[in-house]
Amino acid sequence: MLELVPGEMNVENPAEPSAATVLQDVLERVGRGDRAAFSELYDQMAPRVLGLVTRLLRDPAQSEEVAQEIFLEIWQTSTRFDPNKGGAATWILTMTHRRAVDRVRASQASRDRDVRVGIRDLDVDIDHVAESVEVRIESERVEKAMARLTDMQRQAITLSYYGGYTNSEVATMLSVPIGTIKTRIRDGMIRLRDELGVAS
Amino acid sequence: MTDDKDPGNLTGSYALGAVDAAELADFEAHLAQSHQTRDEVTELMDTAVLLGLAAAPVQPSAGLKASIMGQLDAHPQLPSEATGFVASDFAGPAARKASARWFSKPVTALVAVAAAIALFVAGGVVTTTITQDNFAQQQADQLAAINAADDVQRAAVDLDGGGTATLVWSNELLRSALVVDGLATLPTDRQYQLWYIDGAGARPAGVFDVAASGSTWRVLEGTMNTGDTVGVTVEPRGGSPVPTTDPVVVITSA
Repeated sequence: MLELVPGEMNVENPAEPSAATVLQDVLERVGRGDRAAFSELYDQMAPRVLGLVTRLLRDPAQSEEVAQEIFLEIWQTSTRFDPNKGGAATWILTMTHRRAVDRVRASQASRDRDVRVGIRDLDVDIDHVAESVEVRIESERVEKAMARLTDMQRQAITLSYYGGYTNSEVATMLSVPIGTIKTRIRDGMIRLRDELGVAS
Repeated sequence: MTDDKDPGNLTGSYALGAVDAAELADFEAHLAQSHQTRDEVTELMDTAVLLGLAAAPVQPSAGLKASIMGQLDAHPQLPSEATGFVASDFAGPAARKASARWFSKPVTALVAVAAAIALFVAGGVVTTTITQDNFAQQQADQLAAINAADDVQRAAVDLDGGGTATLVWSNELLRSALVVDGLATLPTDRQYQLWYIDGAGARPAGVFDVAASGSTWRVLEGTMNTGDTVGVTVEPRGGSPVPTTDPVVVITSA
């Protein structure tokens, strides 16, 4: 679970509740209609949500629009969040990614995206917030784990997750059979899981 | 090659949201049956979340928060009723947690609503592939509203091919939804079209597709008048102004 990942723990003072526990508590209060909690959740998560959406969509205005839809969905469906079924960050980020991918696939522009656009490094020049130490540690861990994948695995995972492409689209782009793509992604994700110490 | 056929090979793609629409229903059916696959997907989804958290944070514009807060009233929270309609007959807390997640994670919340209804009316499990967008959200909200209405009614018919179609409606809300199970999939240039039919003729009420599982649901467009008959015909993709084929489903709401 996400809570067990070192990057999520409060390293400075183990006696204080971890960031994950705090977030879960806030989300549960949102689920009971608490608007102050929703405001707090927004302050905590908006840069992360918008960061991921922007990574996929690139366009700042469109990304904010999607982020707005995501927070309204969080508000509406938080009544059904159950901490026994997964962490709060998992819940929010999974919803965020799904919404961003839906938008990428729905927009005609994305359909016309050039193969090179998809394959080049998907970094984008945006007004990023100053990253906290905690965020930087997380990013560096992921970066290091990604570096241990084969180029083929990394490419397939990057195109899928940050590019929003389906298996068959990735297969077409890279001119390899779809079964090969599925295997590369699975092997790569299992490697990442092990490198990052994610276990249920 | 065998990889193409083995659904277990899709765990990574599923965690990344990259499974092609055509394969999604079959994979989710496989998930429901294999806890080995489910455990793997759970871990890979948590791994994917770390990829999400690794994206550089972006500061929202100053107006975004106020805009969202201002819209809360217009977006009422969904009732928290249980969506755990799938029996967790798996041993161990980890497996139970994993199985619970499949059927009530946000991604499938809408599906769970539909499935709960389908279970209620048809007694079978429905796997519906829904594109999660505003339209789907709107549809789910409307479906929930119809089911929550004081005067909700249901009528079911058997289909020629062996499935069932169930109409759920509320005269108070002037709305209805059709839940189908066992409807044939159509060639890509065709779609099913819904109609409200009364003495004056047929009014178009939206189009829908059926996934390989043959099960789906759709809230009809437009308003329903008391006593209307609901029909479904096969039409060219996008629908027709008037029915051009004989109906495959006819249900009277009276």
